[in-house]
Amino acid sequence: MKIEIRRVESARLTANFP
Amino acid sequence: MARPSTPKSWEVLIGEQSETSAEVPATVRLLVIAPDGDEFILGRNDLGVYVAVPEPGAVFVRALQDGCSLADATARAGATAGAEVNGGEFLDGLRAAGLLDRQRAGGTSQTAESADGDGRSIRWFEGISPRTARVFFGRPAWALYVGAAVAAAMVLATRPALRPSYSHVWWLPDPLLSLVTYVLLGFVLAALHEVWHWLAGRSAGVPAAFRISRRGAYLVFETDLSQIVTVNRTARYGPFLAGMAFDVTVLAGALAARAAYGSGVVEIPPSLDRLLAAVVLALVIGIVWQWSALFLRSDGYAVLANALRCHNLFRATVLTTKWRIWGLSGEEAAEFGAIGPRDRAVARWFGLVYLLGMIGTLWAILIFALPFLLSTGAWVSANLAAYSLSSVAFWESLAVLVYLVAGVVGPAVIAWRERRLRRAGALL
Repeated sequence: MKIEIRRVESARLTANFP
Repeated sequence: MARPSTPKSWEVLIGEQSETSAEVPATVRLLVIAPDGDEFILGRNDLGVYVAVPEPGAVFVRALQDGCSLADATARAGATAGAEVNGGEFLDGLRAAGLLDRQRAGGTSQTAESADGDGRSIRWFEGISPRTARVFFGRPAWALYVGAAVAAAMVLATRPALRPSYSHVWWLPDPLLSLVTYVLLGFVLAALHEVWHWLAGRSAGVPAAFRISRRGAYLVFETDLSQIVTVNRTARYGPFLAGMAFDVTVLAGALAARAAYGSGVVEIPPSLDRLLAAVVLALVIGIVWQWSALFLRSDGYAVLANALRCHNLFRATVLTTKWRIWGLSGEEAAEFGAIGPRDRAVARWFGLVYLLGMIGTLWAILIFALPFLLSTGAWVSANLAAYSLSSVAFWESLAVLVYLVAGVVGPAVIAWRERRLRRAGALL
């Protein structure tokens, strides 16, 4: 079987400029 | 030890394991392994790059780290899988994901390193110990945050006079000074929101990187807590919600002060009451944004993607939508094909939220943001002509104009930069 590799997205937390 | 004769970016093991030296890079020892449900996360904390693999993949890497040969590690992975596996192919896949790249310059410790992949982020002071940080995110602290959220919601529901209005921006008689101070106030609140994410990451033992990014056409402060994928899913909610915990606590305090002042219980200067109204406006906009801009990858999105146990939902959603509307390029199709079935299943319905949200955002920009931008821009531009260089109003107007221009140019530049980083595999 092929061992699948799945990319994991970054945890990016934000606050808007006013 | 690097081989200078070939232009490869990984290093090779030498010595007693000479028969595997060309096949197993020494950097495999830098990989961290963490369980995630039935799967495992493999990653490089110094590069900020993480992937999810089934158990045989984790067994394979652990075997290599224990000094097994490629053949032995492959056999162990095969025993776990209950089927024959191709260790060399898997190792090539890890290499292609950038997980076997050389250690980053300056990256000495794999635990204290920052989780940023783009190298331009600001490393923040690490002066507060995780133990101190945990004071802000223990049970008593979360009880306070939840209580503040409930109290703020009750005040807003029962006291219509205290609800935010856009007129609250003009909290001083001087409209120009009102706008400048409102923007500065918004920056302070946004920065503290991000500090709370950083502090919560610190309490979970996860380092942060800060950068300026964008959400749609808006500039944002961004805290990157990528290493959080190495802690269990339940423990991720605190750091994801920490920014809003700060927001609701300040909001409850501001509303309580305004309610007490409005009832005649306390005496504060009327200008302070109006300043608190501006604070309430900025915070309510921020909190509503976090839950309405899920499709733009707000903090609420991080909570949702975690609850749905996704790994790469945002790219899955963007690519699903692109595919529906005008098809994918070969490169995009390959990227989409490498995304797991769970992410793709969620993206099928989340893609509709994304599409409707993007249409709504575009509509809001045309109806609200653009007229505001043009009218404010025209107003401060006229001020530049009307006031002398020696007046405060001239410089205030110039500051507002520069800020407006940065708000238009900034997101475009950042979109270009982040696309480049994403294609290089440095920032996802």
